[in-house]
Amino acid sequence: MHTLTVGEIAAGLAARRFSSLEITRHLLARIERFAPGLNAFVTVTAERALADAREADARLARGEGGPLTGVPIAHKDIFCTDGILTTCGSRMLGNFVAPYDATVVERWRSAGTVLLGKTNMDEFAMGSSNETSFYGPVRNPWDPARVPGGSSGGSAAAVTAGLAAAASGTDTGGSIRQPAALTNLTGLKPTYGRVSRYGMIAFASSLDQAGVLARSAEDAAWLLGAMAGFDPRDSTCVDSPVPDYHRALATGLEGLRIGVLREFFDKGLDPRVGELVRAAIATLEEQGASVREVSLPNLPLSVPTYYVVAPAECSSNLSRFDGVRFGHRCENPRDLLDMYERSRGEGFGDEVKRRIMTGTYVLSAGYYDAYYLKAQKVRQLIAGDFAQAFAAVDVVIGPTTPTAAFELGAKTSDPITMYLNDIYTIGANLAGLPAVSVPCGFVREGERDLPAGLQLIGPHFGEVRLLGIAHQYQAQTSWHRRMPPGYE
Amino acid sequence: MPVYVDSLSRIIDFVEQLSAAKTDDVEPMAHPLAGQVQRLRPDEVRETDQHEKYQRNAASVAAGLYLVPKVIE
Repeated sequence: MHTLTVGEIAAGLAARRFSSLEITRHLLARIERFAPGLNAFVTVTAERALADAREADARLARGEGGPLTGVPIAHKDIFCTDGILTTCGSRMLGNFVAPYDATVVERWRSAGTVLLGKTNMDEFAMGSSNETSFYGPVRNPWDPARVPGGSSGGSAAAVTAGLAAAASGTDTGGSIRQPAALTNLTGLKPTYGRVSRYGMIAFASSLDQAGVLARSAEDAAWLLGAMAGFDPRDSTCVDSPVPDYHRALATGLEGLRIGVLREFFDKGLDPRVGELVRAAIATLEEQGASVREVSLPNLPLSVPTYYVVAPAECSSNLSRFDGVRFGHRCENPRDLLDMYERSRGEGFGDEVKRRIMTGTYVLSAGYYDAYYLKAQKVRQLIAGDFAQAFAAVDVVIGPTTPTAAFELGAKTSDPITMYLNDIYTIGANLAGLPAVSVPCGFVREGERDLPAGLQLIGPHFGEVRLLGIAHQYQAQTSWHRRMPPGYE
Repeated sequence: MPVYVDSLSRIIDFVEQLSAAKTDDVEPMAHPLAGQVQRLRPDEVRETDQHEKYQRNAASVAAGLYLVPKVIE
């Protein structure tokens, strides 16, 4: 039951082959067995899961509910969940019991999903390996010596290992797509503003977007449909109708114009990953798509642009953690300043502090124009490059990551090396574009097969097309159905 | 502190490469979707008082107020 897609679970529940309570119990047992070794969860909500499952079964018995009713899921621990610990991977929020549900949580709940727990993540979503979590690193089910990617690494590990049918994630610079690629999942980052950020703990507000990690494009379509839509409580949430993502999956690829991103096939790309991506592009071509090369000349500046914009926004957002209304407060503060300094000093980890300091620096008088304003202008150039490309092609394509999963500790000593791991994913965030990572094969490392991901980026609100292409590709390939050895 | 000195310098050196980009006459981009405007809503009371629930997360509270070390002598 733990290898089933959301669509298969829905069919099984509808045909009464199993109940939501049965599959929930099965997954809770697997969580008990595997989650501690992977460190995929910060909190397991077993009682809540059983109650949700019973409620879902009752709804289904009454002939009510929809395709997600009774489907067991997990939420990244960045989403506020009413009455449940919400840590954001930080010591700062080690005692924070959210007093309300995030919109994403509320919507998946009203769709009838079963909440299994809250997944581990890089602290405040700042990281690409899940090693910055205060609660310890997450391990990749494909090789426990390697990272699952980040920052949504716990969500990725949980779904890959068959501990949850799907999970939520957030993507500020690649935090859904990169872990999806490194763990053989379909990971969708929607258009900026497509999904409400209400109740999603803020990192960089002009980049943050919620999305899903799932076993297939079809699952991602169900889950996005239940998550997307206007929310007056998020001032940047876009008020436009949510299409039927599922119905659009059947559209063929005839006439589709694909642009292969020249800048993504650079010297940093593992040639084996490049080969898998090129083979996937050939498959799409066989299915009727036309392929040409496109160039986004400013794209190589996306990582330095991001590492000005994101830290600047985070330094502002994280100023709310002052030890007064919520979060960690130091013992016996001497005075107010001592309380702020020690609460923040003790509550935040190294990477978070590094980004707050970088952000404060680039926003400071005398440096603002040279760094922050400059980065905002380069961001405009990068967005312009994409807009120009989408005048000639429907989607652009390339690898999601330069390499397959790397070993724990391999990139922790040099932040720049870690930052460059997001070189192919950051552009979509800067331009606010939707993007999806799709499993496209495996590279061999020693005794292990490690997954690689293909990335499709579309124009604003192009999720329908992206999911359709991914679905058509998955109809021709079976990479996405492979489970890591030991978790089948 | 020394653990940051080196890495912060390297991060600043790294982002320095932006200075080579030609950005004359380029509008700075503050928001990824063009044409978005800040919405207004009717000025009416919508929230109910839940301070007891919210203050359960605070380190120190008395009489419905958040307590901090003495600020004014």
